[in-house]
Amino acid sequence: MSAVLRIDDLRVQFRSDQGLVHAVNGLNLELPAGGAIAIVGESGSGKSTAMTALMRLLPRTARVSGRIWFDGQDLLALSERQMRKLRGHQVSMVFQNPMAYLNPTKTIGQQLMEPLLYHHLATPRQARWRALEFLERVGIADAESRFKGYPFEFSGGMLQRVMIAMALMAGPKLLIADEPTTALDVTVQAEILALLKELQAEHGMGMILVTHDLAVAAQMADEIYVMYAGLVVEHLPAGSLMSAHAHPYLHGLLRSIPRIDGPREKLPFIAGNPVNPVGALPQGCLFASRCSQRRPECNQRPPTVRLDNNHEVVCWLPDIGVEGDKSGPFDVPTVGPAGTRL
Amino acid sequence: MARLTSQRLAQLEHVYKTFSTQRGEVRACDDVSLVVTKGQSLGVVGESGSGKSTLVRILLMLIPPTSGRVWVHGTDVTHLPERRLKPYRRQIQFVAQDPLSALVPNLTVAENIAEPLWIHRIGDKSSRRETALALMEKVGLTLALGNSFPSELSGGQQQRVAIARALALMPELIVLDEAVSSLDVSIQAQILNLLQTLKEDMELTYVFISHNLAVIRLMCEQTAVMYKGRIIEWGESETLFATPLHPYTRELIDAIPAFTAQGVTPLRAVGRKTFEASGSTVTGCPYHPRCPLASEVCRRDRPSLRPVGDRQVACHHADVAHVSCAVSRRRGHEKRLVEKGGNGG
Repeated sequence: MSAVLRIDDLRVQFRSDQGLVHAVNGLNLELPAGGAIAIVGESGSGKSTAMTALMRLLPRTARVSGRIWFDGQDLLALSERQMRKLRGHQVSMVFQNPMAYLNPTKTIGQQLMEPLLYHHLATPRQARWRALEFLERVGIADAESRFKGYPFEFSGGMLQRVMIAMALMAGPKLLIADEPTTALDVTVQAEILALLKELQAEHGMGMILVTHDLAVAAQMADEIYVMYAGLVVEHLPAGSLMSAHAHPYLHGLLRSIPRIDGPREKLPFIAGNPVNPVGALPQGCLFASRCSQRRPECNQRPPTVRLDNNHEVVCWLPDIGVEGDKSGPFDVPTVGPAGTRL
Repeated sequence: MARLTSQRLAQLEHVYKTFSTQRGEVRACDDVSLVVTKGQSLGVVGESGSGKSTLVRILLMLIPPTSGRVWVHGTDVTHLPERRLKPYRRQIQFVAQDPLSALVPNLTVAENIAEPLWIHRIGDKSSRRETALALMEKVGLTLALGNSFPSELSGGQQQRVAIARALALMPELIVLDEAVSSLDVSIQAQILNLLQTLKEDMELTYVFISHNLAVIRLMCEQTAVMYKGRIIEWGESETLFATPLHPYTRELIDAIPAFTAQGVTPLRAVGRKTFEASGSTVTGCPYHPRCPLASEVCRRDRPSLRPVGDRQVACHHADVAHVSCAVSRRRGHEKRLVEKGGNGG
């Protein structure tokens, strides 16, 4: 399958008062046409920065290098004018907080029609008709009257539906959903996720879901990229998440998520804090200081090890056993001295 | 100030709370009764607007209920004046969602932790500092951080400071309102683990507010589910999550993408057809517009909390659900329930 998007060695750095901030440190990923991938990571892992770099929406002070191949062209090499032709047309984005991205002084209808009118894809009459159709498609009842409503008249879940409709209006080849449901209630979250998945299949577009929630990632995507400190530490098919994950970080994360069934026991956890991206990065593996499997080799950058089709891990020991482990690599949990920051 | 030795740490009795807004009255708590007993931590779940935070504020004696009574250690504190509330307030401490806004920005970490002691005039300056440092050790903070300011700490460390501060007065009951929601998974696990350890070591009881059901299940022996200002199901956490009796509880559990021993729960859209109007206009059961089991009686009569099996449920059809839960768990049996719905109750 040909890829709709390929990111090669993407690096993003910002200058700050404290020194150079290493936000993304060599990201590689590939999105098959019509496929869905999820980028999972904790705050500060660079997942949103990478997507903002893809959309070329980073401030000018950011230093970006690498290549982002989309539709046969390198997005990082395009002029701003060419990029504007892509945004909202070929590539669309749904954000976490729709209220912040909608114009409070324009009606929902005006904003919905905007992508079509801006890119000269339809006449105002056609745009209106299509907007109404899309509003209904995303589950907004009484589209006619809601069309004239302003953002403040909608609830959070409704606004997110509007955002999705707006992102899909021009029929993009790639949709980036950055934490689309984080601000929503769980019942609403399930509805929005189901809607996204349906629309993705319906339109045959590629989708990148950025989330901090591993469970959501596993539900929505075919492949999962796990990021830590601006790097992908593991890339694996969603189906293998529980059964075949290999990186100690991912292993620790999975074990530290409370379960909805099974015994209620003490939660194992990963001690320590994430790597501070300000200033020079550690020489070796970026996870080494928190890793219970640490070995002497970890003082050097770990290699990317290919374990299977679509399954790579960046680690010196990718073979730690994980199946139904009771005696995993993490010791009996203790209240660790977490006061130390790297 | 004699501490009453009651097993009932706190109790709410038929608490109502209405707020007047421009659009009319909002009933945030609608006949809420609950008891928190020692050693039985209580989790409160519900979506935004279900009245969880109002409940907490009433329990913390920060706002008075419109009607109903609040008991702390066997004393009715509902109508006590501010001045006399102080000894009761120290029995119930609070940890908020956002630690940075809960801590005093211009006090150091140690001063922040000692502040409750200062407010309650306990000990002198040096003993208060000693207590603060001991608490820092207890919550896993290096003592070197004692002279730092909250803004210099990471989110997880800030939450540890907030927890230490809540522990300063040696309360028996700690209310945690979404205390781990804003933290990353790996840090969240650290804090949950700390809370579990403290709970055992210091014989604490928690009232844990969260929208994360798995967290509630882990931390609390009891769970209460709120919907539109009312408690609609209340019982032992383990059985409540295994066999939810109220259809709303089931919807909540089905909606969360969760890890189980088998893997990730599949994505399941909740087929919500109608978007209900504001709470006050719904007659009968407030959940009936969304409920798959809704029948005539649900549209007419508001169900009150009643014992069903091992717990309390506010649903006309809870008995049917109870029987059927014993036969088949969760999914796929709603249909049968609808067919049987008429002769239940």
